[in-house]
Amino acid sequence: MKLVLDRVEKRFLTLRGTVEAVRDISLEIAEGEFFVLLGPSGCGKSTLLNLVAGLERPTSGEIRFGSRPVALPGEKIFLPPGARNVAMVFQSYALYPHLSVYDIIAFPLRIAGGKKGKIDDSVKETAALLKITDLLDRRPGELSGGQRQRVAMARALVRRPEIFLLDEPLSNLDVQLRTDTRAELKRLQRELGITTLYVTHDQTEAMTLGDRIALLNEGKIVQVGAPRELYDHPGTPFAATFIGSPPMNLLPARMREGNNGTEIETADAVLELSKSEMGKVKGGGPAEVLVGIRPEHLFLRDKPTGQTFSGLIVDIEPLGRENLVYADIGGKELRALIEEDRKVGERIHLGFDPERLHFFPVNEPC
Amino acid sequence: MFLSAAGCDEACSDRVVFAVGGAPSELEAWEELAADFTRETGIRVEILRRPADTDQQRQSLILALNAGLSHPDVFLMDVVWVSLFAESGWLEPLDGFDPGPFFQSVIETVDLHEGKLVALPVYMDGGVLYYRRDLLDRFGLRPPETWAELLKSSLRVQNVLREKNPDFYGFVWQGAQYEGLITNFLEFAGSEGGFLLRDGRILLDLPANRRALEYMRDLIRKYRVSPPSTYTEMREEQARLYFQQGDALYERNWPYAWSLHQSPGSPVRGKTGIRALPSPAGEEAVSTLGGWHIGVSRFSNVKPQAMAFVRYVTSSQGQKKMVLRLGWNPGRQDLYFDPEILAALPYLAELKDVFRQARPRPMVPYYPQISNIAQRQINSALAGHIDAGEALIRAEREIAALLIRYGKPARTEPGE
Amino acid sequence: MKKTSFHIDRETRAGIGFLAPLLLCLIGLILVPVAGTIATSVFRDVPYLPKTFIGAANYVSLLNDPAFWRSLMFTLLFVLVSVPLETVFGLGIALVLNQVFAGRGMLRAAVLIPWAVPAAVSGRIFELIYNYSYGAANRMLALLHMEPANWLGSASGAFLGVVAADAWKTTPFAAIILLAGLSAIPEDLYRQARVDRAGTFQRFFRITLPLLRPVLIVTLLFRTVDALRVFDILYVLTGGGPGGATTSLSLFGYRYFSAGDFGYASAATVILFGIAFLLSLVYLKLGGFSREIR
Repeated sequence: MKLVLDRVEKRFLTLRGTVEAVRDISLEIAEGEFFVLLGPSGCGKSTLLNLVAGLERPTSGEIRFGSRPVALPGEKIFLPPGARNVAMVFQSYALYPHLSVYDIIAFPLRIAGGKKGKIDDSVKETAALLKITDLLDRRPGELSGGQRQRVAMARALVRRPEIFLLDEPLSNLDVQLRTDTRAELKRLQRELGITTLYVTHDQTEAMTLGDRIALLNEGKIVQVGAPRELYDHPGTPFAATFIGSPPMNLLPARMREGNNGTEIETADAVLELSKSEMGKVKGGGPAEVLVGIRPEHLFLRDKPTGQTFSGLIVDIEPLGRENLVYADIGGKELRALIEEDRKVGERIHLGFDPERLHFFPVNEPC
Repeated sequence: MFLSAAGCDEACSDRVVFAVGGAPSELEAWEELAADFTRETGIRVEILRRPADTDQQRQSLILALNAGLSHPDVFLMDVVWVSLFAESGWLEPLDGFDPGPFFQSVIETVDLHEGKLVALPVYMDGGVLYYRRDLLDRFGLRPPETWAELLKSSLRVQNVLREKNPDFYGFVWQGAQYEGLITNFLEFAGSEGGFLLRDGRILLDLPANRRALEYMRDLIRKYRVSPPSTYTEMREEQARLYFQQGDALYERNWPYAWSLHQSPGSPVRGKTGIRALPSPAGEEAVSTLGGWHIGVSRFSNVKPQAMAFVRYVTSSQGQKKMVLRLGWNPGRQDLYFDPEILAALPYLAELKDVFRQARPRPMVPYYPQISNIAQRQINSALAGHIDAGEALIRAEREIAALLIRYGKPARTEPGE
Repeated sequence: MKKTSFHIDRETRAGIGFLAPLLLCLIGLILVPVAGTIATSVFRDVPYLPKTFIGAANYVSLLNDPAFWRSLMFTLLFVLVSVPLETVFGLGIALVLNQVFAGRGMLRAAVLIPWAVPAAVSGRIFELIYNYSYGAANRMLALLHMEPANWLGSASGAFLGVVAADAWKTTPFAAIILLAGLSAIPEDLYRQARVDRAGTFQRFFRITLPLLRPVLIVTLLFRTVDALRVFDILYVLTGGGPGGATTSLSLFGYRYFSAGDFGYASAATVILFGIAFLLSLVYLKLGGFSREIR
């Protein structure tokens, strides 16, 4: 089922005035696609999810499932959640505490009024799919976080919805469990082929799970694209620093036309790029820019060249397979991921491939 | 009250604690009288203010006396409890007091216990009939002598006056489920009715009583001469207010209502008459004896001083003060000839005879329980739930069971 | 192993130490008077007769006393009618107050006013309403060109009258307690249920009521025990009438206490206590509280 959002807006009236939670958002999500809404807290991603679910009404705009509008305020069309074939998993899992796992999973089927035998089959089938068959007669209070999450998923999937909505379902799990569950979630979605809208603030989750990601900030879409696309070609400094961990280094710089090419003066270093090298750089433009380079794209050099950053190491975080080094480059902090071991206080020279540089105009909005 | 009285035992042997209840104006009058007493004798009196409700006063006194507390030293008793207090041995005999000046019938029926004087009447009460003189004159009627006459004249006046004033009723009296209902009932029943104490039993199912109860019920339900709220709401004040607003022809109440009816601003001022109640045909009229008596606690630590106070309250001088201050009917007969008093309250002359012939309720210690039973059944009959006869039979039966519980028969003679 | 058992002992001892003052209060202020009342009930205790031990004679007399049975029936009927009434109304009010709307805080406070008014005062208020001559109720009937009614004049009228007066006063209590229970139900459960296609009634019966059960039982327990002891409103409004039709067991016992028959009154009170105790046990079993704790 294709999901279309057309210029959707949501305004809330509160005691403190009007809050624009969602501003002019248009998206087209293909059938069977795993689509991620990524953004910091308060950027409107949960509100958007609620709008798709029917728990909120859009102030303006249109929401369509396939060709059928489910919300169109202009023509007073609004389908309540029960009338849309959506299933939702909340961050809190919302398991009915007084029911057994079996009853919780069976709940939507019983509401719809199915036959006892059929319900039983569906419940057992879905429980097997999520590997919780041995938990069917337990109560939510007796389950661990991971088990509860599976029950919530089972309840959502048991009636084979057309659209599957998830609101940060993994944030309550510990890291190890999160990684395992992530993989399983992806496998499950692919197997069932349900159009999925997934909300998270964790960019790692987004990158690993999504077929496509919509990056949101303050109610607006910053950038939409496949994970690779967002990583390699972030359109704004916000996108650049949000995607990728540790975040990209951004340094203010001034560009000048030099003898051999372009000179970029930044933070106590002057970088020289030839014309052909400049051509490979992403972005470009006015004299004042932000230069971006990801920590993983910096490597150690023995001595300084026209394309190195030099400075003293102020901090080192050993990460096991590599080290996150914080270097002071002319007053600015630069983060670099290197394999070699160094000591705090050492002088290092960090080189880069010009292809990996990003330029962002300074006055561009986030 | 407990705690205050208990904490006062040793330290307060220099004063007399006097428990009395009533309206604020009455309590103030008592304070003044006590102050006068202190001025004359130097004995301090502390007034323990109690609520106006008679049941609540009784309850607090019973608790204190049953526990044998030394306070209060002196207290007022409703005429119906004197027997209970006397039988329980809570009253100190009033030796050296001369009961002569008081109403003898009252002294004999109420205040003697095993031949000794244990209480004195401070304040007398008896049911009387108020009537609208102006309305009776208008219709050329005279005040009724019998209950049948009262009914007839009520209907006549009512039928005419109802056209302009749909709230007008012929006769208002006290019919709610409380002690006042019994006082009214006895008056309707006349000299042949009431509680009959015989052979250790208390009889209630008497022809005179049946007639009376049916009459009371018909007044409300059949002839609509008395308002429907008679048996749910009508107590002394409710009846008084109703009559005072000019919405009734006759009112049965205690003498206290007189001065209120004559107060400035009263719609019936100058139009009211007062006289003895009617009687059942061929019998003598009955006015139920009410009033308050004063007694001294057997557990008091200051008996001489308490006696002095009682002497002062029951003296001509003390009684006269209260009469003039509150418009009371004194327990001393001699005051009914006092010119000063008669000048202020001329109707007292007539009331003297009413009181002399007033009929007491059974002087038995368990009278309150008997009254409760009778109240319930009589009120039930007035409400139309049961027959008059059935009500009286049930009351009699319940009373009999009560007597068995106490293992003692009723006294056949009052004052025994 | 040895160390563990020593540790638990100390904790238990500390626990008892903390509870001791409360237990002493409970014993002194509650158990002792109850025991005293039970003791008095087996005596013939009237001030003008010698106090004698009569065993169960008071109870036998009570069972043979038609007035006692009348009071008992009235009391039980009163509980049976007023408690469900107040609970249902209270739940309705709580459901409304659980929604978000402007002025909700003020409305919640206003709802409590009837409960804060002393029972004697609210009895007077209703007395004024039911008054035959100048009451508000008959005034309304007059406006509708109807005859004034003697509201408290019949047994059924008086019964409904006191039930209404009592319900007005105590429904807010139920409402506030149920509201607390309602607000403890996470909003997410309702959102989930909506997505699961449950309609309003389905959400109420499948989610709200089951999760409200412990609070509901507590409310019922409090209200039942209170209703069993109903006194103030009867004393003020009807005095137990007409014809003893609205006399509760409390009022019945009170009349005998105030007349001085302490033994008989105590026996009636003990019976009332027994009924309240039994009902409490039933409620506690229904509520399954011990199961919840485990």
